[in-house]
Amino acid sequence: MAVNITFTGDIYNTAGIKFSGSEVSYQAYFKQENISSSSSTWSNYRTSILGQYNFNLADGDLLGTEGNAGSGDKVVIVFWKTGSDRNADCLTLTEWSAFEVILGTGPGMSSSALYVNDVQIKTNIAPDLHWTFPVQGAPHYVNTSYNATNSSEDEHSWSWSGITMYHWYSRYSQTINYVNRINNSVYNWDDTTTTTGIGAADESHQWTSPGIYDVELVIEDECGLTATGTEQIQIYWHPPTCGITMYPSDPDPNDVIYFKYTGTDTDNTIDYIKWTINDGATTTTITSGTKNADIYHTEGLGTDWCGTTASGGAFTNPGDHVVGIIIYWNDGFDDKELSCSGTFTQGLFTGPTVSFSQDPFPAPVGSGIKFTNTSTNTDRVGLGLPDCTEYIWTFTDNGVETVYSGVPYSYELEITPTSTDCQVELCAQWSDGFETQETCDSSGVPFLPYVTITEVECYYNLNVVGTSNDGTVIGYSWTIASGTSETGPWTDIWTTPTGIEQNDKKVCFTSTGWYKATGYVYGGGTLSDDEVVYITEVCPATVSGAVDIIWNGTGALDTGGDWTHSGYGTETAGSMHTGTNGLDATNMSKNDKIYFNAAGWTDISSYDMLTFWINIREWQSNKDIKISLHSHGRGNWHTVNLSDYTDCYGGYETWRKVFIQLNDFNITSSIVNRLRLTSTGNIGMWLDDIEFSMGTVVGVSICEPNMYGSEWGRLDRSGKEIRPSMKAEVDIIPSARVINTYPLPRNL
Amino acid sequence: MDIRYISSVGYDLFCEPTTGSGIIGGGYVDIEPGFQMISLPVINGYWDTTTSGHIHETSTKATVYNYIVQQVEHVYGVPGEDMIEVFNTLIGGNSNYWNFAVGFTDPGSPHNFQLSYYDSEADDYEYTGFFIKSIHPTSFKIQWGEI
Repeated sequence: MAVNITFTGDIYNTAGIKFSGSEVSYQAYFKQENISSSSSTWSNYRTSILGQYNFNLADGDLLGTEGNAGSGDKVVIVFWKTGSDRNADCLTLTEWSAFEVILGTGPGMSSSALYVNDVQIKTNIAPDLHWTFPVQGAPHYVNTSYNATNSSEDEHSWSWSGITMYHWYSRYSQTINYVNRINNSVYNWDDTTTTTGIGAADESHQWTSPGIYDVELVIEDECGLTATGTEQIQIYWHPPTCGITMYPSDPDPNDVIYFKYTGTDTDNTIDYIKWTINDGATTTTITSGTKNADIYHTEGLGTDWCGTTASGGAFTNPGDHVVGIIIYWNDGFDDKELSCSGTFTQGLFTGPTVSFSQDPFPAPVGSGIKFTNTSTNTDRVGLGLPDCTEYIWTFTDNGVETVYSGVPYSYELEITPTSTDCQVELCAQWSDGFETQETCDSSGVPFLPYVTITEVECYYNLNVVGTSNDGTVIGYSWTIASGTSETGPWTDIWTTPTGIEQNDKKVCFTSTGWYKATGYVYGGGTLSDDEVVYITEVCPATVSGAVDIIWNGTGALDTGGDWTHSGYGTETAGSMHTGTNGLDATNMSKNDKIYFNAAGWTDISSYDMLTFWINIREWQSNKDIKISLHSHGRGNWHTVNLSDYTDCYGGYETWRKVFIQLNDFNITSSIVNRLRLTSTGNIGMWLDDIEFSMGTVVGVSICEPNMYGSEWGRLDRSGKEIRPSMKAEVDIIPSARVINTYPLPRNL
Repeated sequence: MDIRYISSVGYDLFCEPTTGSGIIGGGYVDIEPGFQMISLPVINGYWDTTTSGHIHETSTKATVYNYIVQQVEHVYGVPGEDMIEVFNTLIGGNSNYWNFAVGFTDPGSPHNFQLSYYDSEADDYEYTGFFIKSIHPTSFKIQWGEI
């Protein structure tokens, strides 16, 4: 935009009359808004000519002919009468004003080269009062600062001839007319005090007493004109706050207690306090005119115990008690009440930790035992009413209870039990301050297990007595180990299940030698004892009813035993294990079959396994002997492999006994009539003493199936675990486990 | 600023200082729309509506108002501000402009500047070169001197 821009117009006074001469001075301020425009600058002051102002933006005291200006740049034109200084005081200035032209916009834009605006200057205008004071909202209290916010100003505007004229104090950080501002602010707080601040000042004030105060603010501008405002504020005394404290804070039973008001009473406005102390049994009501007084629970009865009588003023009951107060006070205008309450607890004395010790621990069966009181925190023991009893020992021996009552702490209970079923209990009677309590400790009496082995005919009785480590018994078990000498080394060969009935066993041994029987007692910690014996008696090889001979090659040819041999094999004396003959089944080829046929049906429901003696003469790798047991119904048979039951690749030309669980044949009937052995390759062997038999195959066997049938079972196919026999006439303990099956029993 | 010769299309201007009554020569100046810088070599004179011409006499200094604006208003029959917005010039070492806003500036104001000024150092008159801003959409003529 060309800088040759003319600004002109007529100047009017406050009354709207145009000036006619040079009475009015003026200055223009160019405010740069475009970065390419000339810098902001003031012109020299000018005087009106014939009541007109007239200047050009290209004037030498503004931008000059080389200056630049553009749309958006601003020109502020300030007028005043009289003098040469627009910031002169009110003694000099009589009328003044200013307005602003935005280049390219106006006002008064005739063209981009000419702005014509008639203007008016005015005398001083009274300041505008703007202030806030917290007269609303929450109550206001003494000695609290309340702030007056003063945003008053002395800048004004008005319209003249289509433009807006201003009494500006400043514009664009330039002082336009110094007179257009607040000179001072005077606050009258209505309590004989005033505060004077410079300019439009914020001030704060505190009142020291309640009342309704009319706060007045007078602002005065530079020319002495004022504006006044008034706000009313009501000031109260601070309300007291709740607070109750009990002394002592954690009283023992029968301690005299008292309470104090411990809230705040900032302005000391409390007249009196009404107290109510209720302990569930008694109530104390007191009105105190002294807020700091000690308030005693005068109606409290306290409590008593052995050697101590009740104290008046102490809580009558233990537990939580509510103490209420009503505070009567005055807020400066009205009487007020404030209700408060607190819950306070009357605790109890704590009781002893009752315990005792046993010596010896565990006790050998049959020995004397001493029990010693080891209780702690015993200071309240013996204080219980009515008889001040201290301790009570109770000893129970096999159900017979003996009580030792009223004994002191130092008393030691000495007993020689007659059984291992003993319990001991120690009780302490004590006072918690209000009630007599009894605290006890009890336990079973632990006894060391003791194992005895007694020979009875061909079998032995095993017996263990004693307890677990805490005197309880939840079960027993046994482990039998065999050894080569009295001191071992020991090899576990059999173990029993765990059960409460296992403490007394009857077992027989299949061979003589050194054995160690270990009895275990279970409960709270396991204890054990063992006994080493040399077994001289073994059970007979055949126990009546325990074996059914299928074939043994003894007697008439092919008729030894109950079943008849047919098929492959020849009965010879050379292939005998016991008796007169055995079956020579050497040089078998694939599909050669050996049969043993019953004359009728054989009931095997009483038997557990098929056993036979075998002497392997020849074995072909990856071949086997298929053994089948036939029962009712077509296909009601199952085949097992001989190699699953004995080591067919070792021990050639020696006799060994093979045990096959009948369950492995998976037959569904209890009657059978044929045993078949089928070769799948080139195999040679001798067979003898083929039987159905009962019993386990461990080194310890049961003399009679029904004597203690819980171990009665059969080895599984692996030969390492006893399975239930499934026999109707015996009890079963399915968890019985064989620890070691080798060496196999020498005889059964 | 000392402009003595003004060229105008179609006219050969001849002028001399018009220091007294009677003037030798005169001419026309085409006023184009917008700003235009011109100078009229006239010292004394005014437009006389009675004679519809300039009167050149020593008692009246020629100004933009009495020599140009009144001529335009009389010749074209419209307010001067309808055709000319403003005259601007710098005179006599004054770094501030004289601005005659036609229709607004009081003709009594020095902003109604003279078409020539006496330079005391040179002891001679200097003709005023000034800007005239036409707001008329077409060019129009103004005349000076005696034709």
